[in-house]
Amino acid sequence: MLYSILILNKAGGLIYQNEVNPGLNKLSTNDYLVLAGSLHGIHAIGAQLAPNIGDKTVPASVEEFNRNQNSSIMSTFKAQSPNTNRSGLQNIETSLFNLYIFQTVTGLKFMLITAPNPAEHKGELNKQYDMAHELFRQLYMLYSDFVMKDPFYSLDMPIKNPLFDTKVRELVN
Amino acid sequence: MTIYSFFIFDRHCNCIYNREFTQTSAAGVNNGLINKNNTSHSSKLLFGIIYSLKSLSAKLISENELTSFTLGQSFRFHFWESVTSYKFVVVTGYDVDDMQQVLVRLHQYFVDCVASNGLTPVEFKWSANGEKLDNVGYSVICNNSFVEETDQYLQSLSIY
Repeated sequence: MLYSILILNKAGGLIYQNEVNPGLNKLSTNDYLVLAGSLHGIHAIGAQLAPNIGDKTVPASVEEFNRNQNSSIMSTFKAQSPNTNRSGLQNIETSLFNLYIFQTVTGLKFMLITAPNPAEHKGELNKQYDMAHELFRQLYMLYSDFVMKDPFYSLDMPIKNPLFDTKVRELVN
Repeated sequence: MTIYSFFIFDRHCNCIYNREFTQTSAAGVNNGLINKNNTSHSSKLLFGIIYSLKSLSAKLISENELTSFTLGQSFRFHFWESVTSYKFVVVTGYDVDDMQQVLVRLHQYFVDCVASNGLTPVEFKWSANGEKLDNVGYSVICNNSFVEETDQYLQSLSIY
């Protein structure tokens, strides 16, 4: 069961928040902003931490880093945006909810807060993860279609688009 | 499926035990590092992340407990806290599910070998600037039987 959907802009500001089902504590708008900001920070710190644990293949010098970067651009014809952070925080599991994070190449973050894995699905860890990612894909499409194509929407500002709201509601129900 | 490392933090935010495993075929105490990175950047970052996630999960739903989180496509951090605020963290590969029972079991080893041991200090003391004291036994767990038993237990798990 889905509790809540949040969208963060690339600076960590909360631009959309939709409580789909009740279950979470009632938080004030300000509390949600603080929550979004701290998750944005933790996501970034997580990227710093991940390479330091386990394998230690950190490039030795700036030259080597640049060389790797250049060869990846030459082979894939795709530039890596500095905002593309795939090593940050991906999900959180607690006893009463799960939280999933998806960051787009432009630095936008989608977050889903869901009920915890049901007991009968223990051991099917990645199933819920895949379901969350399917929902992220759908949400990203709705965002592209109904928010980015809205001529009155200014980038990085709160989303107050009733059509997007309706479509999100249709998607989750 | 892999276990990368195992951390214990005390209630003063200090990393009192840090065990990193290098994956070699020969099992034993020598494969990896023991208490080498207690003051390192990464163990402090890890504590920071856990601390914020813990308060965040309690904020969203009251009386909630953090159990695990995932960084990137390869690391999953399993977390359990005792009532005395000792925080147990095991870092595993991405595909490892629920580890709460393992962490509780590790806490049992901790109680048997460290907490019930009269030679262990009541509080692990660190100097005010976050450095380990000269007498290492007062700052970190360097109790051989604890190290051996937890190593043996973790290495006996199928996910190791």
